[in-house]
Amino acid sequence: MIRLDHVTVDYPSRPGILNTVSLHVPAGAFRFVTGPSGAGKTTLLKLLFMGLSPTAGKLELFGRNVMSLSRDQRAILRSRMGVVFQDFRLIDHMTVYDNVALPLRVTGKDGGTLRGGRAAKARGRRGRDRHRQDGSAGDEALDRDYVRELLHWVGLGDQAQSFPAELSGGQKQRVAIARAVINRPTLLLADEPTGNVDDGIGLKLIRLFEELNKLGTTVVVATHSEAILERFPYPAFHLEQGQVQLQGTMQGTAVP
Amino acid sequence: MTEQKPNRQSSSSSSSPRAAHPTEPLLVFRGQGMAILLPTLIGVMTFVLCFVTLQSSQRVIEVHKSLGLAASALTVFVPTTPGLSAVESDPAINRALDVLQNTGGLGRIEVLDRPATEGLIETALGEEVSSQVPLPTIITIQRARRALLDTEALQRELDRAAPGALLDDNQPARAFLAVERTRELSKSAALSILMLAAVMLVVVLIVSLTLDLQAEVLDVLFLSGASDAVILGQFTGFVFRSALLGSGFGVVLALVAHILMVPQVVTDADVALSLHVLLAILVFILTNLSAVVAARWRVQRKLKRTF
Repeated sequence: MIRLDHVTVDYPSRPGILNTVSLHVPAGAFRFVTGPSGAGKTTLLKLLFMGLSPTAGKLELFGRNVMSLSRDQRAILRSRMGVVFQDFRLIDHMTVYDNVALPLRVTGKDGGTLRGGRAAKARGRRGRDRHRQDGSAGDEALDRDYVRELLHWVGLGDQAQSFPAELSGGQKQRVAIARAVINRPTLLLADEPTGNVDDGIGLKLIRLFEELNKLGTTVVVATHSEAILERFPYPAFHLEQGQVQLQGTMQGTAVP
Repeated sequence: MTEQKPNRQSSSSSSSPRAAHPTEPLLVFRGQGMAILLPTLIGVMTFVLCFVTLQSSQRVIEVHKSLGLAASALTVFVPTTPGLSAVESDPAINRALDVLQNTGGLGRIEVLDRPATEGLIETALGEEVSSQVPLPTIITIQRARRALLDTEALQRELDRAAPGALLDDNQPARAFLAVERTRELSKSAALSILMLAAVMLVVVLIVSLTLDLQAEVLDVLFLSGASDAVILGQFTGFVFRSALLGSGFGVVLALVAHILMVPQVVTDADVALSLHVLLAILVFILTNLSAVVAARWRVQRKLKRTF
């Protein structure tokens, strides 16, 4: 699923934010990324959702060398991922429902209502056909129901018409999670998803990720919450001084 | 939070009070005064560009017509033989006429009568001077269309037939008109480039502002797997609609203003209204193209630099 081979990332102001990092995340795994502030957790996740290119080394996602892909091919790969941020990144002027449905629209899986025109509709059809070939549901009506269903799943079934400003931090993060999984991603990346919510809500959010993981989604969560790491004993990549210092759980169980 | 899990094979029978389809536009330009003004700004610039272009083209048409007239007419001045007052009895004039009639590429040949000659000479030299010089005989000639004529050879022939005869092919006037035409065209082209650059600059500024304000929306679109084309579409779509609206109004207003200022555009077939309409359409297309190209360039640059 994810393979980093001696990957280095330099920022102009900070060289070696990631320094010859090698790691592997198999399909269907659940991994934490831990480390102190500024250790490179966000940079690693940025690398994984292709918001950043490595300065050196090889990055493979879904079995493909990212550096050899065009921008459009990367966008297609990105549509197979879901990303959750600490600051939610919801679009304020859109309702909860439309925020969650957004990825369907931008990838043309809603029948092309966003882009409009024949080409978009054709693209939408192609998208649905591809889903059918993948064996997953691709019907437009099914997608619409799936939005509602996801909102129920995250406990916001009655908030579909609300705007983000009307929601609490925990509710916003659940909307962000619903949006991240609406495209049925095979890889879910979360950068400090519990950073802006209280501990109780944070644990519930990680349980949502666990449920997704049980359905087959590979999950990578960056966190520095000790409570979460103790409660959910999944293997963790510990980043420090630009390198992966430890692979294992907080209890120290090494993971190959 | 419920314990219900997302079911990938959900039924389609569930109902919602809301129209299920997500129809809310992204509105990336939402709440921006400058963006709302974009159609007006483009409209004003298109109006200026189109109006000036039409006025300029009107002048070019007139200069071009004058140039055609100057090129089609020749004048021969033949000194009058002292003592011979009647044109018919002056052998020099008869020889000059023979030369002209035997020259190919010439049409109507006319010898001006004395009052007409006096009028012309008085106009050129003034009454006092013209009364003191012997009047030449003036022959006006219409050149046949597209006929090749060697004026230098004709001048030599005339000189032999009627010594002192002078052939005037309006060269200074034609040179002046040609310079005027080039100057007008250059002025019009320079202004067009300037106005189109201004349209592009305004679009780039507004899109830049939007890109900064909507950085999060851009992030979300990018992370949702939107291709560059989809993100570009959000920006170029709005700019294109604004340009279409603004430049449409601008062009129509400019055309109306031009017709009001130069009514013969409609009444005189020679002035070619169709040419003006074509020019207005060209301005409309160029304005829209400039706006969309500028928006695309700015967003693409941002996407490539950010992601």
